[in-house]
Amino acid sequence: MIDTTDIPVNSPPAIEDSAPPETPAQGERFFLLLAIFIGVFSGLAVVCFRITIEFLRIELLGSSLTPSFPRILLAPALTGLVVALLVMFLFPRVRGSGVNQTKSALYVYDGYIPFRTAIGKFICSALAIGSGQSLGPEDPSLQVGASIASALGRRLELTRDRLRLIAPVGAAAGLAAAFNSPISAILFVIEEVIGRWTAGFLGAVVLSAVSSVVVARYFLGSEPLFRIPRVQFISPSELLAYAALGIVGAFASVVFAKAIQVFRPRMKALPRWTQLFQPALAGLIIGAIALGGRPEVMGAGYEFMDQAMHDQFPWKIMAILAGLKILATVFSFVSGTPGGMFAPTLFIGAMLGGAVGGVERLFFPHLMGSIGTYALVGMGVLFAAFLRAPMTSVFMVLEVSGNYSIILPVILANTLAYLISRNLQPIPIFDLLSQQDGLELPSMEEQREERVLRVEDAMRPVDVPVVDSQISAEEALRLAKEERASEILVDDLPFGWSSVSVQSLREAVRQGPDELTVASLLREPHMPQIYPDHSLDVALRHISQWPFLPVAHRADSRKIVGLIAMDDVMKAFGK
Amino acid sequence: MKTPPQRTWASRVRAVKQRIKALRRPIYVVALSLLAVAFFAFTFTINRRFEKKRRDLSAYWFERGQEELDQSRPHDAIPDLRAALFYSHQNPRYLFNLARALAAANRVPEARSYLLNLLEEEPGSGSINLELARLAARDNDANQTRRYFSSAIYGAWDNDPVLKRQQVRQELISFLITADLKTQAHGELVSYTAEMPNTPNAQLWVARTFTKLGDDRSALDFYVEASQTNRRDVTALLGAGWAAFRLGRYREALEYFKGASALHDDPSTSQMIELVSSVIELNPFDSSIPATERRHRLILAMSIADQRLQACAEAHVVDLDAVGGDPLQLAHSQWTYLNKQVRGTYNASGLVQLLSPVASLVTSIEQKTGCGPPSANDQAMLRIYQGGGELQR
Repeated sequence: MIDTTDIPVNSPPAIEDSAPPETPAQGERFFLLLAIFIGVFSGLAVVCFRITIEFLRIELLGSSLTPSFPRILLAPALTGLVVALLVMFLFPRVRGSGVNQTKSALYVYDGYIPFRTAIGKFICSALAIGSGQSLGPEDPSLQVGASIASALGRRLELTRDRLRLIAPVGAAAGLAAAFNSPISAILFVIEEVIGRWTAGFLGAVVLSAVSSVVVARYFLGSEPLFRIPRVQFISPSELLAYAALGIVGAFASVVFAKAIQVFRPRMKALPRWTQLFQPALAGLIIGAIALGGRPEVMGAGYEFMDQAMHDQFPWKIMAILAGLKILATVFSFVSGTPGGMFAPTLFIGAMLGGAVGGVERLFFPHLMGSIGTYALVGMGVLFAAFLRAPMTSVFMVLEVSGNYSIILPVILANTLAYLISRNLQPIPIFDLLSQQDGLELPSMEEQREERVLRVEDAMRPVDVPVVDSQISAEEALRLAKEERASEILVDDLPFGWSSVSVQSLREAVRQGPDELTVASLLREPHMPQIYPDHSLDVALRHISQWPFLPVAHRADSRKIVGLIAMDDVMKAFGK
Repeated sequence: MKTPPQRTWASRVRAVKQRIKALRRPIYVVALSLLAVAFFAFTFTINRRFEKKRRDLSAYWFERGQEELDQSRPHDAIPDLRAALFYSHQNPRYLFNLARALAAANRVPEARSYLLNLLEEEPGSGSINLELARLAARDNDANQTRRYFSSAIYGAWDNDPVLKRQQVRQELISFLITADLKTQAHGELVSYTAEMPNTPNAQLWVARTFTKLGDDRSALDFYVEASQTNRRDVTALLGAGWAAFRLGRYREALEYFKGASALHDDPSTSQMIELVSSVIELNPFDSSIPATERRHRLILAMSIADQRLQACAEAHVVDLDAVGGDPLQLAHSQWTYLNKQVRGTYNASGLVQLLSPVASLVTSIEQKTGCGPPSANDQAMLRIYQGGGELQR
């Protein structure tokens, strides 16, 4: 469960009430300006985070890429102990990756993330990753960005709505700076955290992501996290190998997710005192793997992804590394050590991609492009299958590689991996984690899959008389009586459609002059225009004011294709 | 006229509060800007410090790796160069040296991968193209090797580009010879001679390479040039002697061998002097000798060939006087016929006409195997008459 002890029962009051009134445009402008500040602060925080991780890595494991014996075992284990102490007694909310905490802020706590969480996440994740735990810095960066945004939003007395949205704005900034790729970060936050596109929010997310990347690039350079090799797509027949990569990636992601699904609750169910030693034990196991000859599994592993992309490992080694990384990351993650899963996911993907490419080179050397291309596509595959962010996965590969010639293999492999993984592991990893934590956060995947009910699903054929507004009330009454209708639909050119009840007609005929037309009985305003493809939401907004609404044809709004009433809507929802 | 109501302290405070509230957003923006500047300055400071640490570490690991590479320990150099690269991403020098270490460790695909990336950044780099050419040569990919070597020759070099280009062309020529692409190698060698340095070593290298390519005439020119540049160069004199000898320019060859022997007495050089002297003495193709001398040398040649024929008949137990189908018997009957002709001819033109059939017969007899070791005269005969037939000027 997410510890909620330091969260106010009622979310912080919206202080806007006491503030002088401002126009919506002013509010919007200020929000956008604030998004830039959030981007700058998040970018700076992520730069400091990266420097701290690297500094700790050098201090704890030494400056060589292959740490020496005593350090390789002791550093992750002892630092794991320190991290556990910090998490248990100082920063209880920093466990895990940070994506779900940001979603919780959005959906549960009205955008509230304590600033202490940012500090705790920063320190604990830096220690864990720097000491060699198999975790990445991206998700913590996302949470640090969200915490900064939330703190600023509260301090600047934003409205409740804006405060709720500001955490994802910060999350996008943090992730963009960590990944050095703004498009992927924006897409990920929209795809995985928010789940919808709105113009106002998108503007803020884009501004924050771009400003954070600008800041991060100023300090860390514009190079991607790994050097991208020459990317080649040789022939369409190579697509078969990429399809195989998609399938292999899907199965690997399912193994990865299932392992977390099985072990995480078990580790959490152990007595509380054991939590003090779980990160240390994970560190010890990772140290042992490294000591056994595969130090590549330690830390985020970007340098080794770089090597995989440059054909620096034989395919067998890459396959082994993918397996060991799954193992190491599962140990690190289920032990409650704070840190992200993005980097390990990319690592596993790169190694699997490289391995599949290596096997293809063995059997069909004339067919294949570079191993680097396979490693790059592999990253996208795992991203799509494990993190279940298919759009982000495609754009991430394209953005990181800067090469659109591989779009076909990327789309094919990612889609296959996503579909297979969704079949074998119906609950996405972030939803799984939130369920294990006792939170029922909305599933973005479910939202995407949810069938939207439309007007065409509820409308019925036109079963009332349709009359021109210029005919007499008497004539209209006669027609209504003939068809035994209680309401008639009136075509009141050029103003639109309206309706009039038989009772009103009867009254008018009894009291009014002989030549009284139906037009004089119509009320203002006229009926809203509804089309078959509108969602039922749209119809519901107006339906209470009218006995029914005419559904017009998109190409000819005077042509009525059906009617919709409250009963019809209810029936459609009840189906 | 009414006087305005006196403002109380409370109303003044309220007014100030109202104004502050109205200015709330601008104040926030200013405060955030100041905070951002402070945070930026802090990050800048720690980043600069850390950058220095990274630079120091990358330099340390690079020096270590470079040292190991220079000591031909590429397997030790690779992790160190990788560490250097970790602290200095994208450093082309580190990448290049890592690629060289990988190539030296026989990890060709890995080395090539790095080099191709570097080449994308610097397509005109001479050194990257050269390394790629070497890798392609290892794979016996002649087309790629030539392509990369050519790019290296015409590519950019940081220092001493002329010398580097000459060295690359030398390497290309050696590769072409190894790959048995002699025509291309000859073309490149001729190009090289246009730009080569005027040093005995370069001249000797060119001369030797021409020899390998079978172009003794050019080889002789460069050996001579080398011996003229350094008059005490025994190798050049010996090379010139051999080239002249193979060209049939025996008197020149004798001069060069004698010159070499004078500088460095060596049994093999003395043997050559003896052989060349014999050749000169026995050579009937020399246009400067009178008809009597030519007749004498032809008779001598027939006599040496007869001795060889007798030795062969003895070894193979063949009766040369009998008439049969044995090649030795056939050769003997040809010898008998030609011997009569030689002995019966005295005029100059008749003797010149006999040079060709005598050369053919003597060569066929001297080339026979299984007749015991050839004497110095036999060797001289073979040298003189093999391929001979016309007068030498």
